[in-house]
Amino acid sequence: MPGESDDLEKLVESVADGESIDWDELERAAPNEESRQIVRHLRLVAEVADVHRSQVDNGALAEDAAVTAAAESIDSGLPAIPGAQGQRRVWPRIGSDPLPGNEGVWGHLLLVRKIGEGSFGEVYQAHDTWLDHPVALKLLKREAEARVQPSQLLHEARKLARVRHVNVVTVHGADRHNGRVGFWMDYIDGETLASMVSKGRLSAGEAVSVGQEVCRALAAVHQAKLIHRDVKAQNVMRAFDGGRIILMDFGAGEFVGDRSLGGRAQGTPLYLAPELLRGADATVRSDIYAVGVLMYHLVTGRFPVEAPSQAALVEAHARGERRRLRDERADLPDSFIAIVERAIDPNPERRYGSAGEMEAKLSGEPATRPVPVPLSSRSPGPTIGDYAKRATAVAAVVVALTGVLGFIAARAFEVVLRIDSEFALGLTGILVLGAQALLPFAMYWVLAAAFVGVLSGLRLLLPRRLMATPRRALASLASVNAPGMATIIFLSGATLALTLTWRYWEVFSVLWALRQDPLLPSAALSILNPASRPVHADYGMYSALLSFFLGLAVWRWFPSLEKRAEDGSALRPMKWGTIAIAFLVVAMAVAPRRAVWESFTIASFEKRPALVIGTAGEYYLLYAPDESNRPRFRVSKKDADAMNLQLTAETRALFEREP
Amino acid sequence: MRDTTMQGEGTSPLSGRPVGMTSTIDLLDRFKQGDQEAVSLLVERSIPPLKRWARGRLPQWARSLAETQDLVQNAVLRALPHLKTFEARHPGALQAYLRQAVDNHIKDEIRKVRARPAAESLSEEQEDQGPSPLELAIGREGLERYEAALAKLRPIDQEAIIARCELQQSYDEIAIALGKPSADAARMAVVRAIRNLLKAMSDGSGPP
Repeated sequence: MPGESDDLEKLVESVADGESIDWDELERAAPNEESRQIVRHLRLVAEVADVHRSQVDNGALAEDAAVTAAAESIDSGLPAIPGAQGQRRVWPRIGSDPLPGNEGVWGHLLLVRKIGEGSFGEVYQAHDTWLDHPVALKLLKREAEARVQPSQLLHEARKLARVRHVNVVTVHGADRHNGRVGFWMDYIDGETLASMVSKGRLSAGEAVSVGQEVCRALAAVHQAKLIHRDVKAQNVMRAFDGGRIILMDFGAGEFVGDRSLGGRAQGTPLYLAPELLRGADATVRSDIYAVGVLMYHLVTGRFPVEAPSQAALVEAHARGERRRLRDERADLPDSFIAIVERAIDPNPERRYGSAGEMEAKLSGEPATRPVPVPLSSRSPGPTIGDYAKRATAVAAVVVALTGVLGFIAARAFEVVLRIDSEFALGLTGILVLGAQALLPFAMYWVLAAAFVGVLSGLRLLLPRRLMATPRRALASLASVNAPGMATIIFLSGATLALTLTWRYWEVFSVLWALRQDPLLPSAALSILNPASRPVHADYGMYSALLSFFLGLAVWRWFPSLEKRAEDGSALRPMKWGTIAIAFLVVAMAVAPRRAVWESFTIASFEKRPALVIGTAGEYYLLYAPDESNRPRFRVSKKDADAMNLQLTAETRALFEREP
Repeated sequence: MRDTTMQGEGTSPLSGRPVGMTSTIDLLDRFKQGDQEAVSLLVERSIPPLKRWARGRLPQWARSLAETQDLVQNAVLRALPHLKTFEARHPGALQAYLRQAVDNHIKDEIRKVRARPAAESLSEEQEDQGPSPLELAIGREGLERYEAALAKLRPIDQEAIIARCELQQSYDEIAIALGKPSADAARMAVVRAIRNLLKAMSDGSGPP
């Protein structure tokens, strides 16, 4: 019995061997519940095996037995493992049907596997034995020969042969063997866009990248006086190696003005332009419509007009029904949506006039600039050289900013205290001062960027429709009056900058007063005292935040407004004005830096306290902020002893009260 | 039914094993080194047994030859990039990995179809969303119990069960796939794996 280990062992062996077992009888005979449970579990395993065995028996083995000498010769290293009947069994091919022709050979091509099938043709991966490389072979189906002329397949080959382009599959030859007409072309090791979409929607950048290449392919097709008529996700492939996009299947294509295929609509209904469904001729603009539908499909997984039947589709078009892309993907850039919506406009006259025009539009949109498509492509990322260039550019900007801020802080100090130019800070001192000034700003900028990043992340958590309304309102406002929006941004920045200056005006007024009157009473200088540093820290923080958001406006919002404006250049004064405000805000916050934050060496000069505020060659510049007349002394280092000058190791801020 | 067929022609002169299976590991290595032909050959080898396997797992609507072919092929192609970092000790490990990939893909597809409004797509046929043959035979609960117990086993036991019970391979094939010295050793490995599966099923649940 199964409860006993020997019996259980035999039972398990029987299940492993696939033997027939009377489970009901076994369960009845089980002595206890534990044994019965083991029987039930084992039965479950046996049934799993039975179901899979039945699938094999239902003809699948016969399918796999489609073994050909061709496969062996192609793949001499792998075949032949002994099968259950002790016969030599070659690894089966993918194709679901027995290979055509004589032992999988078609002329000089060895057929490897079926990789695609249409209504009248079937495509095989094959091996060109003359050129020793893989090719794709399209053959007319035997069952289709009664209704399709072999010349129709050759017609497709001829059409393909007229187009030579990196984004169009290249045909290598056509022939008839074993009574079957076919032509062979590039074998693309990749996946169709339909397969890509089945794994998830593409981003706008990815779709733009694909759309550009499809447009380039179509431009070449149209230049050859051909209309493709069946652009769709299933007919566009992305190569695994390099991510190249390749337009395939010209079976539905026709020469411009050629009505040999009849005036009826050809192609896949969901991709057909409404005028084709009404019986009009295919044109360049109907191909453009299909590209628009393709891009719509790539980013949504759906179609702009959907219906359960072709008749219903025609009616839906007639009623003007169309699912707007914005309603499907509210997060997409406005420019991307505008391009796709224009391509799928029901009125062909309003669509792009050529594939080149659409490609140019896709290429020229900064907001939809193509990004490398990840997935299975292996397009190379940035090189070390690219990183080095970027790092150099960033370093140059940081050094320049450091220098400028250091110079402003140094000059402000020198002007206020009327310091002679010979004691002006040198380049090293300026850079050090600039770095000290930049550091707190950099910290606040990073924090602000992180805050914006978090907000963007949270936005994704909100329902799309909630975000769609304000976005649409803003986009609409921007489209209607881009200069007005630019002015609002500029004036907002200017107002905030003025508010900030007004709020901390005391700092500047005292500095200016000190410049005018060096004998200003110490009580009037309290804003420059270290005790007032928290006020300056607040000022620095607000300045950093305001400059960050003004910079963000210049970087992100102005380009978008410039695109929407009738004359984008008219917005430039506002943009440069905003940049100037951001710079002024930072410069003003940095100006009092030395007077407030810097510590100077304390000296004793003729038994009176003084601070060393500069050196130039053999001279010290001493300043006595606590003296009633705040004298500045220029003392030679040689005469230090004679003049009773002693430097201490201590330091203090300029207007810090002596303890 | 014991099918411990002796190895015949098509064996490697060095190892005495059929070269077809042993070179699967070589193909995997070649694939990792960027050999595109190896991809094609790996796919060519993997798909037929997986397709047979998948038929038992697919609901009626997706069981046509073309649908099964597409599903399995898509799943294998999706899994390929991950094989770059896949360390296969023997061909059976790759087999089990791809079987899991196909299983996941099937579940994704079924989920997608169930979530899709019926009259949304013109080109798609109306689908019967009924259960798969396996679900019909052992019920969804039974299938879940089996899968859960299988997932708890050591990889070598999982691979033995998948090869024998699901992919319906002979003991000779399993010997090669699992790197066992003989068909008898492979049979012992399968028996041991089933025993462990029973234990995992008993540990994990109430009455079946």
